[in-house]
Amino acid sequence: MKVKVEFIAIERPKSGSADNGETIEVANGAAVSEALLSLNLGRTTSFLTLVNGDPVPPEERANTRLKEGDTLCLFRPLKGG
Amino acid sequence: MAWQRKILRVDLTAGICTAEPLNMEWAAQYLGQRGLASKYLAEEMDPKADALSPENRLIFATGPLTGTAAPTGGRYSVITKGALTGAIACSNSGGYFGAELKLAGWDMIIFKGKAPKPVYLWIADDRAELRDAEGFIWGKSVWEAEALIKARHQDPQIKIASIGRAGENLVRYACVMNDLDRAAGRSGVGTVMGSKNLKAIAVRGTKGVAVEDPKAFLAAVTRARELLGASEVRDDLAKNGTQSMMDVTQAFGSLPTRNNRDVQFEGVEKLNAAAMATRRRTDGRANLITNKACFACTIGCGRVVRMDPTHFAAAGKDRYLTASGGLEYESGYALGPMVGVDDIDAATYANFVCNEQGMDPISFGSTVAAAMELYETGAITDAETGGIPYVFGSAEALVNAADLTGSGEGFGKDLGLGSKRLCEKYGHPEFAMVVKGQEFPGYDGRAMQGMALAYATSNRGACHLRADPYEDDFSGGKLEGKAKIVKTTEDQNTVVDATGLCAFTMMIWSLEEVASQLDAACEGDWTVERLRDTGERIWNLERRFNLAAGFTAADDTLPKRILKEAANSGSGKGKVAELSKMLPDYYEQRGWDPDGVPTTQTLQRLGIG
Ligand code: SF4
Repeated sequence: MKVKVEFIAIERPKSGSADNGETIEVANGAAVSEALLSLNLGRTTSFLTLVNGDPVPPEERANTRLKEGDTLCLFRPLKGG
Repeated sequence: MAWQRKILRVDLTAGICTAEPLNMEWAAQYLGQRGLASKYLAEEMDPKADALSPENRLIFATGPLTGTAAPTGGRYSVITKGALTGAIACSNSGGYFGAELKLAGWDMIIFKGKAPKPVYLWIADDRAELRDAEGFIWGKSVWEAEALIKARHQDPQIKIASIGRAGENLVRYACVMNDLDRAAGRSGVGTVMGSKNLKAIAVRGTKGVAVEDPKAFLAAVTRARELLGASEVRDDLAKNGTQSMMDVTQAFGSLPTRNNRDVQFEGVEKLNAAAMATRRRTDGRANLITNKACFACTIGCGRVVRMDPTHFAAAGKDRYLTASGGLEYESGYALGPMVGVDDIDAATYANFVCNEQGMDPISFGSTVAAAMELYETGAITDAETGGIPYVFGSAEALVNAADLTGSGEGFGKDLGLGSKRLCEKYGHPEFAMVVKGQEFPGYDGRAMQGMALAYATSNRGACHLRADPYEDDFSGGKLEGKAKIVKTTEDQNTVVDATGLCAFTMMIWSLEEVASQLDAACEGDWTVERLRDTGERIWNLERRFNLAAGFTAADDTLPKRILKEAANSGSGKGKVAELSKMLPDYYEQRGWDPDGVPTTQTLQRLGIG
């Protein structure tokens, strides 16, 4: 199935990763954690996730299933200043 | 060591400057900067005194690491009773002024009284004297005053902290500016300076700062610097400044828009970090020219920008067409989404005027947003605004507001009151997006519940730097955990504000790095645990000041809009800020009674007499 991926304030390696706003192919019913594995995130180890705008806490990524057409957004846990 | 052990007292009424040893017993308990200066303030003034009365103290304080090689160790704070809030105020600034003051041999300057005529303070190492500002720099902007002082003293190395016309005119959210575009920005600390007829402090320092164990200090500094150097967060801050946040709050639905009626802004792509870096059609240049850093900083989040020379706001005003300090997230939010304006040059212009005249762009932008809502409802009309339609999205209104507030003319006098006083004057106090009279930074508390609690409990009024609920909020953390996170990070952020370091280091470091550098620089054992205790002590001291000033638990609240009107989009859609579910837990975590008053046991535990 197809899932749209968005990156915010995250540096991605030049190759192997989806571009911002790109649609990627994941297995039907894939969990958020599985979709993340298919993205080559390089040295980015700390990030937060939204599915269709709602936060998915890190501990719930393995249990949160994606659906066709979902938007998975990855962003850095920025702090204000 | 690390402290210079010397403070400068300036009696503005009598025109006398005297040196005095630093109280090292207090330094052991309150460290420096925000902590130590708050202790002096609480000991020396009646918290009930009017913020604009001569009785108020105005303290410029460095931390023990200010002026050292510690990364970002150039910070100073201005501590006083805030003119915007009537609460204890502590506004922190970078640049080079704080380090220069420390290098001149002073930990702190304490002003009292009011000068009979406008003055500025001139410090050259041990020598300190008040000089006449009238007929010289009084009535001038921050930018003009800096140039005039450097020319008169024939030294381009002088570092200057000053107020602009906004401070002189007692605009309630006037800043103290230093190094042209760095600001001790919030709570009206520049207003207090103006009320004392003090225009500027000019300082030249040629001494060093000694540290206790130079070898250990070098090792700790090197390690801390390496951590910054290896960090992706540092790279992002250098590249995008704090502006990356705008894309995050937009995606999350916590970007205050049109006076918090909305939480996402359709014009973000015209204002965000990418927009700042995009070449414009008119002159082929981007808004962003380069980044810059404060004293000893290896992060360099500062923005140097240039306006579009064809933009209407700058027509005929060449001084705005040179490179100068640009939008950061907080100013960008307040001069953009909050007023519904998607014109990056209008926002940049308003930010330049805020720097030039010494105004807090957060409070200014938020006040303009309140004025726009008042205009929309008819409470304010063209009669007040001089015929300019103050409608959301109007770049013309934003530019007009900046010009008039900066110069203190026409409707600018009303805008200079700040949101709370403006909305009360025009009969709609509910339009003021404030806590304890201070305007919101760029986070909506309906999607970010931890931030809602942090705003409500901040001792200086709504603030995004007093606690660190960001990661928990952004990852959808549960309500039950918020009080503990807010309390713990309030203590942590407070003590970092007492060291001389920049709060942004804590995006990368833990308190370990702060402790190792402090411990090597200062006498006494500075462990992580002691730092946490010190932060908690300072927080409670500030709370006691506010309670004595007349604040109560009823002031630990949020505007009705955030408490009662559900967010209309984003991750907080359908939600309000659940403050009443978090506040009792927060008081308990703090060791305060249900009325928000620190118990005797808590005060004893912290050694607060
Ligand atoms: S991180 Fe930014 S604000 Fe902090 S000291 Fe460095 S340049 Fe200044």
